[in-house]
Amino acid sequence: MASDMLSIGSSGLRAAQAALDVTSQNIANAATAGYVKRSVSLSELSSTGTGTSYGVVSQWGVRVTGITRDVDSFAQSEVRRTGSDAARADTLVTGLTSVSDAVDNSNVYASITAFQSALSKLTASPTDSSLRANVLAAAGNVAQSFNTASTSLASAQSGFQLAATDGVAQVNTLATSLAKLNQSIATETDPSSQATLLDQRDTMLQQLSQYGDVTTTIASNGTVNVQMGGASGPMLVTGSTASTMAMSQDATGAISYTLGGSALTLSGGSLAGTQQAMAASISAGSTLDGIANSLSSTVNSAQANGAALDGSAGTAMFSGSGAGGITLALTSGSGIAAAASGSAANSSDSTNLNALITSLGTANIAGQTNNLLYNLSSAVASNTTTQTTLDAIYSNAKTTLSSQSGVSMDDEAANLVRFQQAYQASAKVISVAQTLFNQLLQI
Amino acid sequence: MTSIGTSAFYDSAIYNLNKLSESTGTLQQQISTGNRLTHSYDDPVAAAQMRTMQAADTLSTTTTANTNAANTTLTQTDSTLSQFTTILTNIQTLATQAANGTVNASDKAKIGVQISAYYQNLVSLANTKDAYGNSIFSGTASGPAYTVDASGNATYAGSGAANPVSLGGAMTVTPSVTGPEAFDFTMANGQSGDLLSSVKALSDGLQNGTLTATQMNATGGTFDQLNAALDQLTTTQTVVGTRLSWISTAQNVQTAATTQRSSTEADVGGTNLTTAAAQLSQQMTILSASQASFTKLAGLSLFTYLT
Repeated sequence: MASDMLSIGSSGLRAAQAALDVTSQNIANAATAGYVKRSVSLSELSSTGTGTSYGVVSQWGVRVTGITRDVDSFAQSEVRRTGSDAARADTLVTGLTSVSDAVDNSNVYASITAFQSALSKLTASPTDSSLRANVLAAAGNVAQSFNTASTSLASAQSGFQLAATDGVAQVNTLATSLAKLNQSIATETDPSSQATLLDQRDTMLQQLSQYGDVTTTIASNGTVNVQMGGASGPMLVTGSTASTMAMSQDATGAISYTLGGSALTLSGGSLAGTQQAMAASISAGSTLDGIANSLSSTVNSAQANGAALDGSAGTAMFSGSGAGGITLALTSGSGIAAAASGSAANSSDSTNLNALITSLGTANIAGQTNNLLYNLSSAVASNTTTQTTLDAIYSNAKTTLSSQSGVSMDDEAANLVRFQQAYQASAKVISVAQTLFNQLLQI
Repeated sequence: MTSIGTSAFYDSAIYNLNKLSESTGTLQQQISTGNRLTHSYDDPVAAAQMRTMQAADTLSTTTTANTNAANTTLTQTDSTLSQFTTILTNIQTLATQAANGTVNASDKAKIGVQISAYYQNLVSLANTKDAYGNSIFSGTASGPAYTVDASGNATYAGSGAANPVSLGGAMTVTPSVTGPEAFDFTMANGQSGDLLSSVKALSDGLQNGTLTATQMNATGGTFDQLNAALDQLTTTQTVVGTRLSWISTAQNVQTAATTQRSSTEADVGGTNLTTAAAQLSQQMTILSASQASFTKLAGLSLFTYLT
């Protein structure tokens, strides 16, 4: 009986000790990323039928059955899913903003307006050389702002390309690490070491979900299989093997992804955002090219219908094609064909100049640019609204996960007191057992 | 039992405080710049409207400049025509003296010389140039409106009427009159002529004594010609006056449109200071309350009470 008390007391001591260890571990890792709160699971140690008489229950104290990771796998998968969406929206908004800024800050719209203004200023005195020089300078500014916009778009696009390349490399690194981790998880038997490995696994899955939408299947032994691009997408990690993801671009520069050789359609993660931003940037670029070509052909055909200052037929004002290629071809202000065709030299006739102003208005060059700017900026604005919503959802999911599986200092403080008391009580049990035994000896 | 994780508490506090200070920052920027729109994507529709209105502003500066130039040229034309009238009236007086039977041949010749000097003045007035250095009576042609040959005869070297200048919207004005419009006349008897040739013929005739008082008084003679030329000048001045008042109307329209635009621009793209200041003060109150409650909550830990 007394020896039973001793062993029960010492098993209680061991259990309280283990619980205090886990509590200390929890406190120490309160701010560790990806750390899931641990707790000790205990069970009573008893047996029947082993005592002196049948039916008497023998009690042997308490046993530590394991260290539990208090994880809510639904909350974790919610964090991954909403995190993918938020990362896609974040990347897309950043990308669209740089596309919108590229066109907006190049002053294409203002320079077109200034060109029109310079043309109408010339109507006051079509032979004036300074007014002609003013038109020529304004035309040069238009060409340069188109060039600037095109260069800025190209640099935004090369940024997207780099981001996609880097993202794909990160996905491949994470996939390889996960495959290795799967191997370790499958062979690890020590519960506290396994808990650490599972923390690592979940952290990696969460990192992976920032790049693309992942679907995970967790086996009973803790290993994970990962699919990308929705439930019917190709496998990224199967047990201890990882497939390779790759990025390619077509002639226009549009990005597409493959995983293990098969086509991959991502709907979430920064890689999907980059892909969408690239598409928006390519479309903005081609619209801008269209506007530049329309400007150049409108002005050039009007020039061809008129006579330059020296009475000769007007020549093209712009050469080159597209926003990147448009250049000022006219070298002197006297080449502006303000007068009607066949006019004498130095004629202050402005018939053709007025026709040019009218045809610029009809071609609606400024209006087209305004529409492009509007479309780009409203894409940013509407996606920002989506981003704000998705960010709030992601933040909620993270808070939920962190409330359920994160460390609460107050809980741990209470646990410290509770397990300290349990330890003291078990020690008291041992001390009582000793007193009882001593009394027995004194008889 | 759900407890709030320590890191969850800090994470959500950081998220909320960041959002609050971000929105106070935006409001502060709107107030200090006076512009509601920093980027096009702050409000795409308003930004597109602002661009259209700013383009209209740029074009309207040009229209204003062109209107002012047309105004200057027409005012100059008007005063030049007034000088023509004055000189022509003087020539009429001199011609009346010359037509008097008591004037002898040598005095007639002297009057002829005086008229010849007036003729030179008229020719240089007819070649008056505007601010851009173009002759105001030459139409679309460059160079002088009238060229003078060796014997002093002036010939119109200009072209047809100048092109109308836009005064904004559909309003246009022809900024000048051509020489023939101002100086060519048709007399009551259907004969036509021009002011400069008539004056030249008068001066030559008086100087070489070939012009008699009878010829001068005859139908289609000097006096008929001078009267018809004077009528033509007055008519032209009326036309110029009408154009000037049209320009003044156009300037009023422009000013009204500019005022209208700048008030719309302030509505669409400007910061409403009252609203923004009230919102800022509201946000600041919420922010400082959140900060105070964060400090209090963060200080609440069971560890503080365990000894």
